[in-house]
Amino acid sequence: MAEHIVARKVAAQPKTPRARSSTPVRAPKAGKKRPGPKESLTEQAYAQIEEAIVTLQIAPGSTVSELSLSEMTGIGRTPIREAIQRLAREHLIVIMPQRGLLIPEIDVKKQLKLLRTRREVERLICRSAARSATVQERDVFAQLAEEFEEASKANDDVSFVRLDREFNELCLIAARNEFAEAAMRLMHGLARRFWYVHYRQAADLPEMARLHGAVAKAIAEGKVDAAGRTLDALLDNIEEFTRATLVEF
Amino acid sequence: MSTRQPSPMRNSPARRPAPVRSDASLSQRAYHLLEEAIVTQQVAPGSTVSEAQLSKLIGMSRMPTREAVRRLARENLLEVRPKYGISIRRIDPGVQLRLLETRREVERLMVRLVARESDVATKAMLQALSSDFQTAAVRPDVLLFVHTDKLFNELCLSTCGNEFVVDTMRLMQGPSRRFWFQRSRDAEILVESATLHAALAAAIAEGDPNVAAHASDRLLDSAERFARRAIEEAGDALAVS
Repeated sequence: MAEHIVARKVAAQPKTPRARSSTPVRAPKAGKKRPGPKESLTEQAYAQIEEAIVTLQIAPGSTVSELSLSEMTGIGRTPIREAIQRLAREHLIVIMPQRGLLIPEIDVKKQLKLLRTRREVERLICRSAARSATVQERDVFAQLAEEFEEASKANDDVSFVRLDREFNELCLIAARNEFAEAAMRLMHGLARRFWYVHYRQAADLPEMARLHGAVAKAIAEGKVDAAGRTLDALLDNIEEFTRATLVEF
Repeated sequence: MSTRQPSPMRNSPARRPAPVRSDASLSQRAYHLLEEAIVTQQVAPGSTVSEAQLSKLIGMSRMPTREAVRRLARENLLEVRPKYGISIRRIDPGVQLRLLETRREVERLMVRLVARESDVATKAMLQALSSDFQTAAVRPDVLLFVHTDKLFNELCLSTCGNEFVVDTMRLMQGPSRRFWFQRSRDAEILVESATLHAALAAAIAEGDPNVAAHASDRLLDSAERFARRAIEEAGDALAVS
């Protein structure tokens, strides 16, 4: 049912798995995103350190130095310094003058503030995507909706994380608003780290996957108001999940 | 510099002290000077300049200038093109419409938070800013408006208590300020905008988040209307030429 509006109009595109995976907006399914040769050293340093912080290889509350990050990544000091500046802007590193670099502790209150801002920006993004997505993008949104549904039924967290990342990227592309995109990118890292710490204990994964699927479906079908409404329902769930971590112990 | 090519920069350099605290670092100071020079179009939109030229314009050395340039690139006011120079972005009303869409959502949240968080002293400041906006509308006085607007923004950002709102608003500040500096030469726009700002500041001072949010939406409605008009004018200009 999800594909009934737009997908039919592009019947020229066969809906085989091969055609699907060659859709230009869709990232390759397996494997972590590796920096390509064209990415600058700063971007490589940023991507590696960000991943290490978000996936807790560098523990919250620990201190690091330019030197230790340089050794960890094998990248020289100048690109590392620039990457640190960017991570500081994304609240993933706190620069303490004369005293080194602190990886901030997980802070639920700060996370709730993030969600308040993210809700406003992401609602705009989902509404804009529902309005402006191309036919091909809508096709991918429809596929994502189905796959979220499958991940929900199977309670499959690995698929969910991959789908979530693809969905977020596609929303940013389809919304076509550089300011909303930049705002979301400033918040992504901190949001992902929080999820990484807590989702096993606190998240209702099938429900969260189902809610994601509903947003993807609304965008695929070009339903602007429904995209905004389903996004609000999703953010309600994420807020609940975030509050629940407070009473875990 | 070549005499045939007009310099992209006006003759009066922005050497007067920037409105920053004395303990602000050099790069912070370079940032404020350069931002103001671009916002007030002392550096022309669409021009290509070198780091050395900008460094001379603001009267600061290369390193702080370089850091300021990097920050202004993130804030969408210019683009660094390796081996080519620094391109000052054109003023594009289409970009402005997308900016306003984003600003509407985040500013509504911000003024809600400020209405809730304001203490007596902040409310008094908001009232004072409201009457300054009113004065700017009555005279009408562009510089008073631009100056009051800057103070109003800073007060809201420092009061809202949400660092993610602050980050997002700062992303949009430069292109937004430059666009409205240019448009406020039109007295009609200046009067309407200053009047709606006066209403917004007063609404926030009342302390009711819903009243504040409503005033913010009215301001953004007006801004969008003027941005759309700018797009139409740009279209007409193309048709004529």
